[in-house]
Amino acid sequence: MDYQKLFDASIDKESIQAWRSQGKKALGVICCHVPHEILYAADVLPVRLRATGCNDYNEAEVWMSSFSCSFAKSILQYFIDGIYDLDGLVTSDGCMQAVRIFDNWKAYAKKNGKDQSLFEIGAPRMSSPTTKLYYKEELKLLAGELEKLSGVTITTERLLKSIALHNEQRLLVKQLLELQKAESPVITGAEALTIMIAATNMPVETYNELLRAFLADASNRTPVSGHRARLLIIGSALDNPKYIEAIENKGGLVVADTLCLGSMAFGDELVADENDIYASIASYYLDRIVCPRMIDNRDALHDLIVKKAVDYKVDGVLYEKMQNCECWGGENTYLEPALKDVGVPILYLEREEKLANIGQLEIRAEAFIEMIEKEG
Amino acid sequence: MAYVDELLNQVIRGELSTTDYIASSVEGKLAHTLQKDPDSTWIYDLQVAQWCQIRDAQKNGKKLIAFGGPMPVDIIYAFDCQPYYLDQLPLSTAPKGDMNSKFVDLCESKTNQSMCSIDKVEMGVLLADQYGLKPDAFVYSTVPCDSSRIAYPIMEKIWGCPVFNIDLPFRRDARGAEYLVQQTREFITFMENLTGKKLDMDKMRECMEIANRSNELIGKLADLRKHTPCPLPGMILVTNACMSGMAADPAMTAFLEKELEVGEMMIELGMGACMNGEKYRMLFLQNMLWTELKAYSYMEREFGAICIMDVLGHYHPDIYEHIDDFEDCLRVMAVKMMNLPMIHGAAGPVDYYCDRITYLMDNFNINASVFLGHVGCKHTWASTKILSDFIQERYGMPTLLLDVDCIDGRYKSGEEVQNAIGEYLTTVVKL
Repeated sequence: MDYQKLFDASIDKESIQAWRSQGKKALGVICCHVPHEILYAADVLPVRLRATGCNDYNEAEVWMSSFSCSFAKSILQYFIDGIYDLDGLVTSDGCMQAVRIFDNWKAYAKKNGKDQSLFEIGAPRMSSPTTKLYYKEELKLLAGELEKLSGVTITTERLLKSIALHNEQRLLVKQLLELQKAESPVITGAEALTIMIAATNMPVETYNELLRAFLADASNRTPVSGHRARLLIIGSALDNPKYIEAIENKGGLVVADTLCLGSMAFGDELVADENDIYASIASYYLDRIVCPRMIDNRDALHDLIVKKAVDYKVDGVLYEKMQNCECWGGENTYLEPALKDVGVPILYLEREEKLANIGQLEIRAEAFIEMIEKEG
Repeated sequence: MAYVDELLNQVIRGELSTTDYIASSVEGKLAHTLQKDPDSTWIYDLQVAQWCQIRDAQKNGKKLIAFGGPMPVDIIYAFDCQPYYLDQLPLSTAPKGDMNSKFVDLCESKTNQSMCSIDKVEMGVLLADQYGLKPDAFVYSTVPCDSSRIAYPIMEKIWGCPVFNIDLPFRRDARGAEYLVQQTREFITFMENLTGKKLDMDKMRECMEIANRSNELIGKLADLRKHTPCPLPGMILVTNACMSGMAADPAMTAFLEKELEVGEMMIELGMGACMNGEKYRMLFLQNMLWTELKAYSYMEREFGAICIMDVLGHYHPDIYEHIDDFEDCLRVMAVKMMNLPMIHGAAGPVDYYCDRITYLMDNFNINASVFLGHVGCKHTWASTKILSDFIQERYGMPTLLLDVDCIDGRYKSGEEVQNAIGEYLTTVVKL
């Protein structure tokens, strides 16, 4: 089977159009706290929004100002530009910028006569029995709205089937990530990210099929060689494999990530209690570690990063932070010493959604690689 | 010879804590005012009460509870503990240029430049170990913003004291209120464990009665500002922030009573805060410029322009209607948390922000709209077009967008801000 579609980082409008041409709905999704399982169970295609390749977000900046994160502005720009031709949007209050993408999307749609179905769910920022109960009710409300939109009743069977499909996706992505543990992996970090972001805009069955085919063929690929340092990349939403490519062109090999559009978007298996599936989903999504949006997961997040650094035998960590991204603004305080304890240095990089300062990135990455290569 | 604030230099050198500095400063100002202008001492009484109570709480056997974001503070008072609303610290250090900068810079060395400087100061002071006290507990909610969500978990770790968190619901509806009621019950249990005593309902009622009085007064004071000319200066709006931590403190009530008395007297005398006549009644869509409060006096004097209200600082008076029904009171506490300044407009969907603007526009006879936007408050900046379009369409009024750092004066001087607003008023609004 031809799995080349997995290696295309562009936003796949065809998949979305094909889905909608069947009379089915497709909704944009912002952030990791909107369970795709529920949308899919309602026969709604969840399209995780990103803005890969967006180089001009001037019009969105008029709406969101120059003080906003450019990832958020670029997503809005893609809506303005018609790159995203969707039936609407679902968001959680992942971060404050995610909330404002929603608000501005809504305002722009209204102003320009675009009919959009818009849903916003509150995702608690702590994990406790009380917060899980609240979130569960939010998810049930969302399910009700999705049923109205699609005309499909979300039965237990449909939910379980959707969860099974997403669990299969998680399992397959885990196998993909395992490939990166090899001393000479058969994929680069840029390729791994490309494959993972491909999941954002195609039906889960299609993605699983493609990824299964790729994994079956992976052993036939030529291992990557000649790299001087193994790297873990962490930080703000990164949806552009070219950013990683620039680092890899300078001798680094990104073998692991904790990116919300990378490995963290998938996570471990969701174990569903058939007697209370929404509670299972709520619990899973609040306990799952994705980013520092939660106020009670910092130690666990840092432990996860350190463990990844050790498990993937990295020589250094790249901490990329989008300008004006507060969520990822403060992890250095405790993360840097924790990584130091296991002998892993960290490079802090600020960036924008567009690859405007790629030359500077290359210079800094190269210097870092040289430094850790010597240490190695 | 220029005045040298030696105490301030001691803070800069790390020899004096911020708490001691601020408490000493306001005590000094009060003593000076007692001698020179005894009728004006009420302005400092509140600050002295606030800072000395914080400074002396533990010496007096009270537990000190540091808090951030909306928390059920009346309960802290009912446990006979002393709350310390952390945002009061940067609001107090903001006019103290070099000292404030020290803490901002220190925080930036550990976090990032774009973070809100309110949180930078709170965290910077802790990194410098210059609070001069360690709270007995640190309680905070998941709002107002992404910046506080960076700073507080780090501060929690540094302080290492007992912690309690409240998750504020995204939507402010009945279910959200019930969610907060449940968490408030959990907070009471936390406080009982911390203090080793049960919640004293008599004391609780007493605190709620004081809070009710403060809320009634703040409501009446807001009503006074509807009057044309506005009897009270814009600068005094900064004290609204004290309500977040001191509504159940008798010092707050005393201050508000005096402020109301002065305001009513001004109306009786037919006087307004603008000494040369009131021309522009400005609504500030975001925060106050804490670095340069004298800019407000300048605008009142030079342009007849008064800040009638700042949207994020606007205090919504919520009253405990049935003080003997604690379940009902818990629901009021939940609503209070959702209606807290800054939280009510900025921490949820933008519709709430528009609702707050509508209320103020419709009731306060506003004729000029200014978004004096704190640069650290990126999520409010991300709503500027929605807000300014809303005001233009509904009220036919343009909005000036002006970026400032409300806490770090190095970003833009007060003169620059006041002149930009003045130019806008005289060339665009042109009344």
